[in-house]
Amino acid sequence: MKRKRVSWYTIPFLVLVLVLSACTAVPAAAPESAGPAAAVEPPSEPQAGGTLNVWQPNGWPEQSWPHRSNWESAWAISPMAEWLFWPLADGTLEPILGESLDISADGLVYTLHLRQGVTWHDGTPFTAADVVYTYELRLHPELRPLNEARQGRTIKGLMAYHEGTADSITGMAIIDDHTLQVTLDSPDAGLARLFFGDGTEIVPKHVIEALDQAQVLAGTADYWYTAPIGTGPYKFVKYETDQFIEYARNDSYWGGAVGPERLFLKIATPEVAVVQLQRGEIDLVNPLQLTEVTRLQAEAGIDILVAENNAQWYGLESNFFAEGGLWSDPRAKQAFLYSIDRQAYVDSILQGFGKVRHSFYDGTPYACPTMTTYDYNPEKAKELWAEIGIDPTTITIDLMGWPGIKARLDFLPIAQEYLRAQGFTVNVDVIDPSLIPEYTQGKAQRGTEWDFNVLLFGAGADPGTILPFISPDSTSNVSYRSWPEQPDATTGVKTNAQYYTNPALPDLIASAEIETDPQKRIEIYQQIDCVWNADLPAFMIASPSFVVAKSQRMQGVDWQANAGLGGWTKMYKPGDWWIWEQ
Amino acid sequence: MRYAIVFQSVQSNDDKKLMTKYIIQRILVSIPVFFGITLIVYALFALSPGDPVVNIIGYSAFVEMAPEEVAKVREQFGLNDPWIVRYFRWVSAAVQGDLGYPYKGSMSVADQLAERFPPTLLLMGASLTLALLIGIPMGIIMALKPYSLLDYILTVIAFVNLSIPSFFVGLSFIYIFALKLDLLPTYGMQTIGESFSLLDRVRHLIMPATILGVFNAGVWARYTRTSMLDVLHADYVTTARAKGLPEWVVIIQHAFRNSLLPLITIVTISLPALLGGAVIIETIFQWPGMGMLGYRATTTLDYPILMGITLVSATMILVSNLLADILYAVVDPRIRYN
Repeated sequence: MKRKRVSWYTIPFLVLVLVLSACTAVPAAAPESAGPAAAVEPPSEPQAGGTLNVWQPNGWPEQSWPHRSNWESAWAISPMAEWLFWPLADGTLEPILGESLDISADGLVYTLHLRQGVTWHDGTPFTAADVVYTYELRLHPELRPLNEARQGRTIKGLMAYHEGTADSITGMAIIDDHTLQVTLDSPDAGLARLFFGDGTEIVPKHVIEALDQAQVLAGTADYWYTAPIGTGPYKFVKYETDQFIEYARNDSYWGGAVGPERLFLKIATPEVAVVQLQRGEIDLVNPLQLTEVTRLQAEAGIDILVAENNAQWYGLESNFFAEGGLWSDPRAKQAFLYSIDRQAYVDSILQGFGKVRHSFYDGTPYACPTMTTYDYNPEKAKELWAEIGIDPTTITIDLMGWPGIKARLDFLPIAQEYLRAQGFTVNVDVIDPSLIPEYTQGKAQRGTEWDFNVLLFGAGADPGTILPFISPDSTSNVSYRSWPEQPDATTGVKTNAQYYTNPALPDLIASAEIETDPQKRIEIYQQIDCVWNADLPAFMIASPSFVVAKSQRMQGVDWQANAGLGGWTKMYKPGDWWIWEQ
Repeated sequence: MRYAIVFQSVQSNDDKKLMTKYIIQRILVSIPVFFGITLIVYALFALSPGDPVVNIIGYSAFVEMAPEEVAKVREQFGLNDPWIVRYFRWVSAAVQGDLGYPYKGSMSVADQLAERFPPTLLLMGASLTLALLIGIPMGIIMALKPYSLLDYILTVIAFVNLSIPSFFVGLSFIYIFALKLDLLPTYGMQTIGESFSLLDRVRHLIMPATILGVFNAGVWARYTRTSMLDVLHADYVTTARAKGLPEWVVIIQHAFRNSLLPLITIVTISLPALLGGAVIIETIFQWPGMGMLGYRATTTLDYPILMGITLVSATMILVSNLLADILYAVVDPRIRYN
């Protein structure tokens, strides 16, 4: 009897031992195309040939270029699609299909010079007509779903076209095949970077206008996933649903010779993508889960690339309805920040790949030169609570977030613990993204009494993105409309999301909106940032770095530039990437 | 011998007519049931909290768009109409073969379902076959040696199969067989960049089909064991043995056949999964089937796709129930359709 009992346990145990032995005793299989030993340096000149494999997360949800609204779809078309300019972190514009931009002294006329000698993948020359057609398609009133007309509202006739009362954007005039003139109703300093930047891939007019227009507007033309063409370094070959997108080298690329003959975007889950990187089947994993960094750093043939993120941060946005109460006093917000050890959050949740931020532009040239830093100081927090007459033990703070970016959501329980240590009662609500409108408009379980939600936020491509948060009537952006749905019912006044104002701001905003001189813009925005830094209309938590893993056989990657200003990572000059085959 | 005679009687003209009539009745009854299922599912989707517009245009666009722009998007997708109006609009188009387009993406729902059907059929067909080949013999062996060491070992194995989450098993398999042992491909249906070959397809099929098959084998082994134990003690089995029939004839022809009824129920109700797919395994192994499509549609509240999958699943449930009834008659002649 005793013998039998031992056997039952022994056999599964032996099986387990065998399996574990397989995992530990067998050395990792050499990848088919494993990177060379670290001691060997790659050649200084790019090599031609080979196949590049890049991870494509979450499939290819939106194939139609004018309809894409998520970064995965932008990443998927990056090898073939191009835009006019790439806005760089130093405030300049890198020419792509646009060559230069002249702005008149009054800031009302933009002359856009396009690159010459560019051809579409079918050999047709790229012209100014393609650019106008692209913008008119993206802003077409019958596009389904309608695209937001967030940028470019100052362009003459743009809103009339978008609202369906005009047949074209009158402010966009073709001068010749490679010159375009854009006329504005009022100066708009952010226009160059936000409207002509990387948000709009230029489409071939001669191809798209030959398609069924109803399908084009609905985004249902099969052209987008069967035969799309662009001007980029790679030509589309094939899309296998949820498997891969195949590209071939564009030998006529205007940017010069492209190395790899083929490029595959491989669709996989994050876990499988890392395994494929280790097996040499994928060359670039973007983004990399931070929990994988340490393990992969020890792997031969794999490089970890980190790009600092100065354009985004995780932050807390305050509830419009609660703004008039406790949080109307900036000292309460300052005490809130002093209460929480955000560096500990960076060190633990972000595994050190990030920076604590103290103002909207912290880390950029626009940052307040005399910035106050709100480093963890629980004693100072208590002093501030006492100074403004708040007894934390009598107050409940409700925090809200939604799944999507785990590191962002993970801040909430950490904040909860630190605030509890101050004496507050703290609730954390995690809701489905589709419930955000109900919750933020006070129609969910907390009513209008909740306090903050966590989000990813930042200046992105241009400092002008701050304006809707501090101005109800910014001309460069529409008003941020999380809540309320309509202007204030009693006063009829349209306000910004934070119900925030400061008498120092209107003049600064007015000059920021029209100032096109880069240096003068920096000075104005620094002053705005100082006001933000003191008033804290929203709380900054920390900027997460952009961390990727690549194989050592993949060369020519400038990841800091690739991360750009951080809004959406795209492929920065994929034509420069090449394979180091030994 | 007795069974052979009775089975023939099922095939008599009267019985054939009876069965045909029964099948027609069942199909006619299935029509309102089918519409009932789609109506209830549509209502559940429509009445569940959440605003699909947030997913259609994305959260950042949602908060940045002017209210009138958001209202127009809602109008474009017909979301302002009451759900019952939307349902009848959907169902009237669906019966004409038009399942519409998803909220995101350029490929129609019908095309997506058609594209996902073969991979799911292949994966689930392979796993079903594997499950039957493993589960039924395993169950018979367990029943023949109840409470023996072998029975306990197989029971433990069956429970282990049932208890370990499939995502864990999937990732473990990838880690062991793809990364460490380098025996099998990591994911997908074929080696990317290479032309199709049967061997390559089979290699890609091994891990997901095995995980799904072994899971079902555990379930079906337990059912087979229980069912066989009931039958093995029946008088007619004792009689068959007393007549001196070989043991395998007693087991297979007398005992196993009579234990099939509950198994038919279990296997046929598993058939809708053939098209419903295995959500987790298809997602982990990047198998482009219905399960992965359903997972994506659920996370983005893409109602047109979810309704398309519902339509297929409802059809499969009704068909498999009908199939179960027919198989009952084939296996057990005591069942009549009047």
